[in-house]
Amino acid sequence: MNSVASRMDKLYEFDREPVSSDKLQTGARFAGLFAGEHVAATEFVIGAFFVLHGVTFSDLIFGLLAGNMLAVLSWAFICAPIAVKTRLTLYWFLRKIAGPGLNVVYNFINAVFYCILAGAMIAVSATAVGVIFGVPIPVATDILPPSLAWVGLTAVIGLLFTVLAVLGFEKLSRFAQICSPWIFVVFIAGAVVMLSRLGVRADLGNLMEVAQQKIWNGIAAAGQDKFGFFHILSFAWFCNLAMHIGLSDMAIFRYARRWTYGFYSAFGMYLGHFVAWICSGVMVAAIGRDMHPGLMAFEALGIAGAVGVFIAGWTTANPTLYRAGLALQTLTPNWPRWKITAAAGLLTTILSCFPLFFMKLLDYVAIYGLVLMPIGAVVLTEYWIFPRLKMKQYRAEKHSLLWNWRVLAAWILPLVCVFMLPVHLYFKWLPGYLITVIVYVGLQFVGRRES
Amino acid sequence: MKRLIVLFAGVLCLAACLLVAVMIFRGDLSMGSGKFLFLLTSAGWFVFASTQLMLKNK
Repeated sequence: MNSVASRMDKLYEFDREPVSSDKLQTGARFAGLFAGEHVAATEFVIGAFFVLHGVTFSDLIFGLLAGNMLAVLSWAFICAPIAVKTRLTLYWFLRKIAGPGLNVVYNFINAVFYCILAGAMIAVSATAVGVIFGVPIPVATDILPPSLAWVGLTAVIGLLFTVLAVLGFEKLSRFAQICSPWIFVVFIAGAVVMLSRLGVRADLGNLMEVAQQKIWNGIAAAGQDKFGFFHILSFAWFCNLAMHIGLSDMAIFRYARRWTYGFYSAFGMYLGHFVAWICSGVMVAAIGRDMHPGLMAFEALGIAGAVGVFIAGWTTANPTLYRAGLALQTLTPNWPRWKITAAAGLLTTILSCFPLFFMKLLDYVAIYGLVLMPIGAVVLTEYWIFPRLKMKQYRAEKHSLLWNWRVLAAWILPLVCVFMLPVHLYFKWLPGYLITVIVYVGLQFVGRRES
Repeated sequence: MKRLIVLFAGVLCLAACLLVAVMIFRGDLSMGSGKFLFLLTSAGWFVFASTQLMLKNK
């Protein structure tokens, strides 16, 4: 484990030092970054699933407004302040707290989650190609691949994305910068075009009536749970749980001049997780509530719409594959970057064949956030609460520990507790967060008394 | 200056994309011709945006 940890340190060696003041970025860059990152391929699926889950119009609007505001506040008051004060990535900060061994485990779990997410994005792109070539796509309740044609399609697209990622992340990142404003336009234009199919008059006089009766009418599709205001609020809040409460976005905010830059996340939340989700809801209602992102955009905007869905999947799968490769690289000694990217891409391609991850995206997002959330709670406790309780900080660093068992216990115990809690998956994370803080403080207190 | 002009042309293309969508919705354009126009204006955005990026990286 020691050698794995030292390899991991080499990989992140350029991030070891706090960001210097000459590298700090302007607020406009944060606004652009968030707006681009949160108008992704998954938005075509999430907004559409809200319709399938029978959300009412008022629950959707108020739930999204409140949930997104809580997400923005989480970035601004939890993630950004720690990032601005430490100027470190979560990786290096967690190393001081949890020890290098536990850091490896955290990174590996993160890599697997990234691969699944990239797999879901490949599947979204596959629906766009499928609609052009007439390949039947899975239905919302499918878990296993529905046909050989689907497996072939996702495999070809997954391998194509992997090869392009191997050939150059940077060029693709630049291409993604060009694409993101257009993808946002595809969402809005697709919804506007589909309004006429839903019967909205040109004077918009019956827009509200159509929204309440034909789109978000409160009737869940067969096999889907009924969602209400609190489901939407909670989902909008935890959708990026690993990033804000889980503190992954310390990597971004360490470049911020002030902690208030956390409020720039509103550009991502209210453009991507509000406007784009509403637009995809309109589109799915117009095609008869069929969970088919490619068909939604194709029916609205033709080839350009299908290309939009394909590119949205590609440009968002690309950085996700990169992050997965970076995290996996620690476990593969002496492998060059292309090889590890290819391995991550292969795993992602296999996962993308299974509709489970694409059709259960909402639950997957919940589990992803839930599993990584305790680490954010541990870091927050260590940074803000320990000094106030006069407890020693950074135990792993001071005692050169490979594993801080208290952190591991504070990670696993709350997860076991919340998985047994008889509440909906979406409501488990908040009690889990509080339990983690209590368990971690308690373990530290007991440890202090013993020593 | 050149970069700004190219960027402005790109933004105009995006605005044209939205205008096409509104015209389809209002029935001023048929679905077929609207989709074709959307494809053209989208292509315009990609041409101008990539030119702007090339000028920026020069």
